Amino acid sequence: MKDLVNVKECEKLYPDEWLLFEVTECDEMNRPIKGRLLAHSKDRDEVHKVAMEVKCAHDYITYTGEPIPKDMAVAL
Amino acid sequence: MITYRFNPNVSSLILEVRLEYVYERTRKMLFDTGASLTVITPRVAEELGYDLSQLKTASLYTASREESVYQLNLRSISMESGKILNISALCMPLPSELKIDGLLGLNFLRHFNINLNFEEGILTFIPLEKYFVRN
Repeated sequence: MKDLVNVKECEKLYPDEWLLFEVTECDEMNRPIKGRLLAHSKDRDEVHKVAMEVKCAHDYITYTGEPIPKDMAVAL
Repeated sequence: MITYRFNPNVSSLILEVRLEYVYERTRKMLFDTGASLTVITPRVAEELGYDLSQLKTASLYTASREESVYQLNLRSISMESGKILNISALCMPLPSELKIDGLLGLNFLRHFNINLNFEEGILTFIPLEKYFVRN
């Protein structure tokens, strides 16, 4: 079994990547603070594959870089 | 009251919310008052436990075209101290350049009184109590 990590500290170790955590503890405002890092990748599909295999009750996927490129305008 | 701090110079506001269907998934979504409905990507729908082949489809009209998308109902969307139950959502891919997993549209946002303070970089949500289920 993978070690428990501090989510925010772990995010700093993998810049510009997608991270998948199994969430084991949230703060009083329900934000994930501790968990197990299950996958990290530049490719969202790679993280998705692991999430679909593991299917933990509560997971957290985040991208550690800029979510929207600085030179990109968005009109959705 | 739910408060987020943001850089007033950023081009978009991204919020962390917890989505619930079969599973609970915390994902980052774009705050989008221009979207009538909340949107999640097909990947997130599958991660929540949806079988895409069992979902109904709907027509979506964007600024430039019409396209067919999946319709679904999320059990809840949680934001910090509570949740809104039974939120309809569309399921469609977003451009891969956007590193987000969906859009928080008006059908979710209308359950709050929202204040965007660009001078101080503070976004506040005041839940409408009749809809907000506290944790």
